[in-house]
Amino acid sequence: MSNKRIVYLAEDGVAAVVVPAPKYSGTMEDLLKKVVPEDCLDSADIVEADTIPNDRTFRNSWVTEQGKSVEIDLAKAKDVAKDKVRQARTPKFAELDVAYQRADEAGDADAKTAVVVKKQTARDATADTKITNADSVDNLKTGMNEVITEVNDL
Amino acid sequence: MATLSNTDLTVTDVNCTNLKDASGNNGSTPLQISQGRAFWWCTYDGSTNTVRDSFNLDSVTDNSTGNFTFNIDTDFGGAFWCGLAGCASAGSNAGWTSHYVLKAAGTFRIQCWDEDKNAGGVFDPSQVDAAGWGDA
Repeated sequence: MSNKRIVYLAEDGVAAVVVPAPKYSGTMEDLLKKVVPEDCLDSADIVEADTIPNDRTFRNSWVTEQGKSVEIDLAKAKDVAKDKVRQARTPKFAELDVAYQRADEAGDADAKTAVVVKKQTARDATADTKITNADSVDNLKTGMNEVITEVNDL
Repeated sequence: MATLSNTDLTVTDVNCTNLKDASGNNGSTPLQISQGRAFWWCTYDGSTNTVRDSFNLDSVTDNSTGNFTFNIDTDFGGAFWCGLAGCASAGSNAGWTSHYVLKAAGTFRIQCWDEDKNAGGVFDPSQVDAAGWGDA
């Protein structure tokens, strides 16, 4: 199996990674010409497989340019992290809506206020500085996971 | 009709109407074999971008999360062929794929979804199987 990969920046701005099939018998150069769209050839290159990140948490923030392998764009990774927080809080909002409705039916003003505070905390989660101020991908991942845990624990 | 008997026959091309097993049963025409056999297939791990095994496939492009393109080695004669794909992942009760963007003579691009595992839908399944049938 080849230990090479083809990388290029696709039209959507995300790095594409081509893995040759084990039975592919041609050259990587021929494969590059065949599978990389013409508009993307300027960014295409053949790289070592072990330069591709194993962690796909921020897969849609992968970028590349000719002469380089895949790199993670921190600004794009923060957008991915925010999306993951939004996904995590969707069921929490539904849960809190039910809690609010029940508190309303019971005429429990304090419980309603508590739910309102929790919902606001969930809304603010995407703006948490653990995400917005992260200065590295590792710190971003740690911060994102902490924020998701906080949302789940509301 | 000529009868040829040989237990070890080596030939380059056989032009025939029907192929049968040793008992003279299970006949298939070359056309039936040609149309029934998958033109290409692949079993792929989308979580590690690894091609486990394949036939008539030169590569797979990992486009983004849950989004993969199968690059066929010898292309179909056109874009109208039958393509099927499915996906699954450990710890998930549901996994499915949908064709998206592209089914061309030499490529098959799919997106993998599992709202059970990921509220956002797209995900990287550890098992993606895809195949295509059609004319060269």
